[in-house]
Amino acid sequence: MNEQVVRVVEIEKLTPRIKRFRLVSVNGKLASFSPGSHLAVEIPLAKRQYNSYSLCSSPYQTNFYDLAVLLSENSRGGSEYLHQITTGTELKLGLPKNSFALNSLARKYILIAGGIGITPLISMLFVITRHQIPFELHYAAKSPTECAFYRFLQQYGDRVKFYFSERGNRLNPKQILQEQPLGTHVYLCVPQSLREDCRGAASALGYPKSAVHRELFGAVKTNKFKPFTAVLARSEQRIDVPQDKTLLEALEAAGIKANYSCRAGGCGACEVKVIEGEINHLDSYYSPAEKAEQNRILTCISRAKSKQLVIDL
Amino acid sequence: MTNSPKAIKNFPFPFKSDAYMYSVNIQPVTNEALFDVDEHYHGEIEERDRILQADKSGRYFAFPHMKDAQWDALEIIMNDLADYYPESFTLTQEGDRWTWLNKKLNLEDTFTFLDETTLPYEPFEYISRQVQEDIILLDQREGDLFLDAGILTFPASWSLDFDAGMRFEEFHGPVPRAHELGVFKKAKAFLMRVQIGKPWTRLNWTMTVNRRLDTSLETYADWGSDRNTVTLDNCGEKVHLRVEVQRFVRLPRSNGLMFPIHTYLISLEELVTNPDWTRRLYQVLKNLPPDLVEYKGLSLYHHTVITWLSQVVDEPELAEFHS
Amino acid sequence: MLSIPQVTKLQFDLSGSRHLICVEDEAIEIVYTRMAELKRIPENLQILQTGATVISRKDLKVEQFDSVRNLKDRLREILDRAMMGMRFYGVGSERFVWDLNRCARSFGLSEEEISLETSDRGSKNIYCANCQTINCVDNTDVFTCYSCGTKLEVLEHFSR
Ligand code: HEM
Ligand code: FES
Repeated sequence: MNEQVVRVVEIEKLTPRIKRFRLVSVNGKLASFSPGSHLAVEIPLAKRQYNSYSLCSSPYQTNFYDLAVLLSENSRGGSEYLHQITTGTELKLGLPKNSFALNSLARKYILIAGGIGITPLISMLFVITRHQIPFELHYAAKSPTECAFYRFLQQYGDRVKFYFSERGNRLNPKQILQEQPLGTHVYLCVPQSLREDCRGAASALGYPKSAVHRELFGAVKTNKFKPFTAVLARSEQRIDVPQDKTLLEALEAAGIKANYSCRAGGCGACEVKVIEGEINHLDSYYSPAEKAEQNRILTCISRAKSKQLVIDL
Repeated sequence: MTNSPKAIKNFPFPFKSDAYMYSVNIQPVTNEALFDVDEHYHGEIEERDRILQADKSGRYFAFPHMKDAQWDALEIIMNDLADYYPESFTLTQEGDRWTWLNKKLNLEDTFTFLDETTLPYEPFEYISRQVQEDIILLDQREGDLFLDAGILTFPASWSLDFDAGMRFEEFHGPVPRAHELGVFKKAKAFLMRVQIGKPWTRLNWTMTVNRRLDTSLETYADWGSDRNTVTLDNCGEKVHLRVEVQRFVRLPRSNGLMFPIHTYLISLEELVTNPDWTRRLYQVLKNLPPDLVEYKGLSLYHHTVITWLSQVVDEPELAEFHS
Repeated sequence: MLSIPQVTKLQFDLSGSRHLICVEDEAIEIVYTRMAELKRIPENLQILQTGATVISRKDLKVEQFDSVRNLKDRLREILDRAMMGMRFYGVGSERFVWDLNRCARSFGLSEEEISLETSDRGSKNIYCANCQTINCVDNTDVFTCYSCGTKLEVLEHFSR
């Protein structure tokens, strides 16, 4: 984390509850990103935390990032903090990540947004229009004043349709999705109930699953790891693994020769047999079936669920 | 063209144990150039140029949806070269006006970033003609990686034209064992999560008769029969260990993946100047399963090489004992 | 040598709202067999076939073409106007099936929307790496390229 340091150079109130922040780099260059990306922002409150926000500037813009932040009522204080900062404030950011990428072979895009869900779709518009691929944007909000980017979106003419609940306009997924050409890809960034409606309509119309994309917001890890004890079966040595260290690091600290390659749970080099104890698999290497066997662990990332783990070392 | 003592010393010797088997052997790249500019730079750039002139369509392609990925590749490569070899490469950026200076090739171009019409070639071809690496660009979609652009003048017995557009497990189709071992499923899952600014690397190896970089299927007729010419007398000079240093780099704007391959060749004569390497290679070749011997194209001279090495290894029996 | 991808058995995907089948000559028998395995015949079915129907069926309308080229022209016309929900099926020789698959993919159909079955273990497209010619040959392990005369060893490695 904290891979980029930025300064807020502009703050615009897009709606009574949404502010847009323009950020420039303090320590060099901003990392480029793909449309649909989000990144983590460090919130320097008493209890440090990280909030994820979608980037809503153009991926072709190299000088600044835009983030739009909704003041949320039941937040842990992150959005409140951002809503009270002024220009000149410095922030620490992670690097961009994308779990909502555009399919590059689509022949048409249908983007559906509800409220603040518009943000990742804005970055997509810059790319879609540069490549001149047909699109429609359907955007549900309470009213024009509660509708972020309302003015900005006027430039796209009738390719953007607004649905204001205050005026009784409702977005009808079936109507939107029917009669779309082959190769259409749908991007959903809407509240859960509408998302289920959209997915239901798409599947009834025969859309394949791979054509319907939804934002999976990278849950910023708040995972609190528990300490545990590793017992080495051959030497009966006991090694304590504190919460902020991996099993691999603890083994190395104890002077035990341990194999590794990637140190990121992806290659399998650090695998060790587990004789007793319950494993908390955190890797991307094993299949679900292999994880269920509960008989080997990747020491560089995975931990114990039980208090102790007897391993074959 | 042979290796200098320095190049021999830096050779990326690939074996960590006496038995070689496929695995997801990936490691992070830290504080190290992604692209290597070494003593063979001029020779290899010229050879690449010659091969492209003879057969461009088989050796270079980029599908139309890879435009953003092309600029991504150009941006990363230029920054990498300028950062690690400032005496040879300079990138000056004034907004979208970029000036690229390659002193090694005596070349200077000013162009507009993201405007293809301002470069003499399309961006990926332009920059990949100035590095020694073969480069594949993969598009990430439908939960898979697709081989959707590439430049390949120095391949270890495969064909770019044939593999164009394939999925990860499809272009790995001919590899024995690794599918059953689950290597490709796991490798793909890993690659799809490679993050911006956090590149990875792995080594791959095979052997080549004569110091020849272009062992493509397209030119098989030119080099395939060389494998019949290995004798105990010429083995040290003719047979080369061929190692690929591969990188895996997230392309930030396109969300694609870049896969550069730098191929290093070392003759056995050069290799045996290092006794540890000699012993290791001897053991690895002796233990290599027959299907891998066959797949790597070693069948015709595998035995000759083992015999030759056994004569060079100071104490073969002892080496065996150690394993 | 491993071969991936394998063309598997034709699978009707009833989550689709339209079904377009392209079939080569007698391979239509396969379509009938696969259909008989279903509880009911899918609605909105369209069949394009080269050659003459071996066994015509009253309950199915089949559009026939005298060449693959003409069939493909009609296919393009259909795909160009087709809407999401379409499923595509190809049945016939390996050459026929991969040819039409490529055509369907170029209209944005994903693998999920396509199902293929080959009727032959006979002819194959063999790609000559020496001169990049595609040869259509019977099942063999070694043969000589029509275009450049190089003797080729056949690897089970499929290309798109
Ligand atoms: C994404 C980038 C990659 C590309 C484009 C790529 C491409 C290829 C190709 C074209 C071949 C030759 C296959 C043939 O015989 O036709 C090959 C071989 C192979 N690849 Fe990859 N590969 C990639 C990543 C990986 C990774 C991450 C692994 C990790 C395990 C891997 C493991 C192998 C192995 C074990 C072989 C056989 C090599 C030998 O024995 O000589 N590849 N790859
Ligand atoms: S070191 Fe790679 S999985 Fe642990």
